[in-house]
Amino acid sequence: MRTTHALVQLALALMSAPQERHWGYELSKTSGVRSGAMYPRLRQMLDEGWLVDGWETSEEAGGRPARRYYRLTEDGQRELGALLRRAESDSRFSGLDLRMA
Amino acid sequence: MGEVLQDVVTCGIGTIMVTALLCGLFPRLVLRLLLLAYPSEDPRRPELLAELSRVPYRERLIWVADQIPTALMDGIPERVRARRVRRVAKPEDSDLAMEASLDSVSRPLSPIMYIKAHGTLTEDGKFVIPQGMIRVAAKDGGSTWIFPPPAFSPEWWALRPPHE
Repeated sequence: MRTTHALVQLALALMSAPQERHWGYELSKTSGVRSGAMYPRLRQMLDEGWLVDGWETSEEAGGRPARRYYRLTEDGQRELGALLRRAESDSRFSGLDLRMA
Repeated sequence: MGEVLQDVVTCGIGTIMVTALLCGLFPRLVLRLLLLAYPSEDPRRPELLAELSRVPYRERLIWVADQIPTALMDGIPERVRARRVRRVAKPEDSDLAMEASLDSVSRPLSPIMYIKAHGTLTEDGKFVIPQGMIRVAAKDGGSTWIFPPPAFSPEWWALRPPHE
């Protein structure tokens, strides 16, 4: 997967809570990645096996349509951790706060 | 005084109606139209509709506008690919597809999602594809998984005389 700003920002947001479930809109807000660019990335990560997805239950949804969530796999945590470490030494991402890596 | 009040009220109601239309009904309508670009079994259809309900009203118009390039660049090729695969395999006739294409909350499952949900991992770490799925060549040189047409189902093979 090509290392882009969007991917690094998304990796940061996902790795800030690696065990938690992540929701599309919240993830877009946390990472600062436009949703139009975020969903294709999430799909790629799903295909790579870095993420697993699921749907919230009707109780959680509280009468609204059930949302899809994403959770990092062990593979995903390892790969995104490595990606963030590489990004730390990459001058293209010097503007990003990569301390979480 | 009465006329001014009437103007304010009229203008206010008009503004409220336009705002409600632009931030409430219009984004949902546009999003539903955009989602038609994705194949009918694509989970992004219910996903984006559900996410829209969590987006604050004032952001909805921009949020929906943000989906336009992705739907066009991502959704349409996927839809074309899905149609091509369907034409080869006719999954709508497949018994397995009928049973498997809905998950426990009646959401449509693609063959890949079905494999992910029903595949098993052996002790030596090998992923075993669920029985009955077929791998076919795709036009782009790769390959893809499909639900089998009924003629390939195990029951069919069991019923069929060996010399036929």
